[in-house]
Amino acid sequence: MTRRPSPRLVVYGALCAFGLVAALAVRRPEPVALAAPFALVLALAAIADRAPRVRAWIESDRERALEGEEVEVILALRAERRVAQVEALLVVPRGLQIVGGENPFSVGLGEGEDVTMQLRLEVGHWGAYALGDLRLRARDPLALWAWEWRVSRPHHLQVYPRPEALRTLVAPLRTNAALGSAITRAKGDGLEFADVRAFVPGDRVRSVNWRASARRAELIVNERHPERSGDIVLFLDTFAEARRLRESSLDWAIRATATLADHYLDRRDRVGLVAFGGTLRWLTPGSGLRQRYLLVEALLETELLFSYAWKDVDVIPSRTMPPGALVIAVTPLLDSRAIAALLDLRARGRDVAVVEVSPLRFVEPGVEPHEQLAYRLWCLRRDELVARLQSRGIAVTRWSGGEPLGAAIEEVNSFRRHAQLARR
Amino acid sequence: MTVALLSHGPTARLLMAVGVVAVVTLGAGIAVPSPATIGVGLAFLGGEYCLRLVLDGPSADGRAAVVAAALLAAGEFAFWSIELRGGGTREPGRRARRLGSEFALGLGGLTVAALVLAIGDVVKVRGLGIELVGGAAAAALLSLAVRMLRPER
Repeated sequence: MTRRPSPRLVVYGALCAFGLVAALAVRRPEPVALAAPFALVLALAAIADRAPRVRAWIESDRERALEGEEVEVILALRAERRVAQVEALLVVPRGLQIVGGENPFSVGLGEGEDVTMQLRLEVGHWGAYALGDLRLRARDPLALWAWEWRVSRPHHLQVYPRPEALRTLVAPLRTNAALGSAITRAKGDGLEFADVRAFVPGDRVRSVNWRASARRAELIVNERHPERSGDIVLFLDTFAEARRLRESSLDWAIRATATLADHYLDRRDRVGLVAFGGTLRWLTPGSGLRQRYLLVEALLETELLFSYAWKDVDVIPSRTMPPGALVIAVTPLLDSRAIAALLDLRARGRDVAVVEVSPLRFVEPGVEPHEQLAYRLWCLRRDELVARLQSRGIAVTRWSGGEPLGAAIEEVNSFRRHAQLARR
Repeated sequence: MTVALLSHGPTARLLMAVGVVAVVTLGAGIAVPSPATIGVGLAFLGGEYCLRLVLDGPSADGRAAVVAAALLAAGEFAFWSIELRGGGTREPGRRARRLGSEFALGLGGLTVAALVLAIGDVVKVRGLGIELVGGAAAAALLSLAVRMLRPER
């Protein structure tokens, strides 16, 4: 706790001394009389010099929220000794905004009295926030002294990115035996119609297509595509990012990854995560609510760590990428290590798709002709890189953060359909 | 300046000049805002009054207590205006409470100043001894103020 005299106390002290010295100089009592009221203020200040005893708490209605939601925070103050005025300021981290309540707020508290202030915070951006840095300032009735102190009541708030709506997802080429929502290419029991064939002993009667059987004068049964779950590995490139002010390609990449994870988990697929960058972080594929939380928390902790160290796919634990898993890379395609890793994965027969979080929106083409030329060359190199990836059978879609992600995913599906036809 | 207006003769112009300087300094202190400048303005105001006492003659002035209370009030309102401009929080009834406190402080100041004058009127002791006592009191007050005003952790 820091005690500070008010500026007027300092000035009054000087005036008081000045008055007394002046009285000596002019040998009259009047300057002493002039100084006397200021001396009275100093005397009152000496009496009022008692440190306040105020306790503070912070409570929040939740620990997790979705981006754009409002969170309620309650500040509570309790005075063990009378305080003429106490001001409380909750330090709000960047990304949160106060939409209701007063911050800072000021009250006078009697002995044993408590007061609460309800604040409503709007979370503007996903991330992990630490609330609870409270700054307090108390004053005596004449505001001669100010006591300032800081109370730390850590309260962690995790704000998840709001998932975008996606109508379709990239289907993995191979699926698992477990039930899911992905329609496989195989034929078996399922909902989606696949083909018809002649009845063989053992077929169920309810599979018989009576209309086709009547036309062909033999029993014909329907075949269907079974619904299975797939393994999805979300490959997040954290080597480099393009940034302008508060917005960065990594932010958008994390948002896209969270959206994809959310939708794949809804489809009962097993979803894993590989954050490939200065530090390697991974999460083995899994499904269910627990995996959803683990994924989002891993994404919230994702950060860019600059590193010169060369990394390739060998550093990724094999169990993180099960055979047949669809690897969806979300990358700005800025770092050669991430690009090399993607090419390597494809060369090893992995099913890879790339969502390129375009860094173009963060780059100005420049004004000078040579700047514009450099920009065009850079764009050409990027186009060449995309063409190189596509020539290896990797579906690449370019996504600028502001557009719907669904369009980009549809582009990947379109490429994969096209590539499949070409293979036939 | 009021002091200057109350004066007559050749001293009035000098007092007026000091008063103008005092008011301008005080105004500048409030406008900037700068507590030190306000202090200088208040010192000039007090100095103007002392100058008048010196120039006008040896008779005791009973209005000193009122001037002292007015000086304190001027200082209090000047600093209050700075505090209000600093923003901060709005608490219902706080201004009214502060105004009451200031009024009480002004009355207290007036009483203390009148008391000092009354004591000065009764005790007519002169000489080196009383001056040494006065000097020691001033020094003690100054040191006490410095010690008290030092920020503490």
